[in-house]
Amino acid sequence: VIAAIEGRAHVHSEYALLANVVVAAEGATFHDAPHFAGGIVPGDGIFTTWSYRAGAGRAEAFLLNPQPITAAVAQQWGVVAEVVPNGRALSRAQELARQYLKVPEVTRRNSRVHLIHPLKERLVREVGYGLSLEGASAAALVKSLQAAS
Amino acid sequence: MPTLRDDYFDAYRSLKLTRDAEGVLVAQFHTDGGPLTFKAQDHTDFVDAFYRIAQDRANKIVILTGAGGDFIPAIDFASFGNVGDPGIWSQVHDEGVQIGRISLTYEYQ
Repeated sequence: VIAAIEGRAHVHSEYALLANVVVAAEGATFHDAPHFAGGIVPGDGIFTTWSYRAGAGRAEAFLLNPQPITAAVAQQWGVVAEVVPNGRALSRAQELARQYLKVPEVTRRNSRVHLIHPLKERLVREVGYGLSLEGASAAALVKSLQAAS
Repeated sequence: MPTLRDDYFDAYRSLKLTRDAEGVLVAQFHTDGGPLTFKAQDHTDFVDAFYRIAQDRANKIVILTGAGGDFIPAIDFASFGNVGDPGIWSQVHDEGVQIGRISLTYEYQ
């Protein structure tokens, strides 16, 4: 699985972080707009994926930061594997795909399974509880908005 | 080798699926061909999409990407309804747990 990112990855960027390799255009930015910046807990796997790939300290700062980070920062953190010129992310991902197709299918499939396995284990452990916490915070946000109106 | 039907290719309003002869699947998030504004229906659809993509061995490589120069830039909160309602959140919870379990990969833990 390869992610090819142009522009804003500001909502559900964890989908991209499920990829084995993230290719980002130099103008790409990463942000978690819907959660803490929007008033709710980042409990849906966004913390699990970012902390898995970037480290917990960076992930926490990222999730609490109201501003996006650049592709260059995401590469420095190890989230992005390659930064390419704007408009080139998908074509570079296609090049990588051709390269990966050269190995036997079982090798490719089983490498995917093995490489994603530790992240999947964490997602299975953490996301149910995280979404319960997020749900409570969503109810609290609705309540506070109703009280203000 | 047996193959699955690929009728899921046209099943999702906000996910365009294109597979070439070598089995490279491009999964493109979009709204009407432009950048995706993520809605509640997408939260539901993508669980099914990620499951079907993972299950279909004809997908040799998966490339996730966006449209119109963005990956996923925006969300439509109102489309989720009252997220303070436990009945609404129950669905968000269950779908969110499933998409992590699937992780675009066929084996389950």
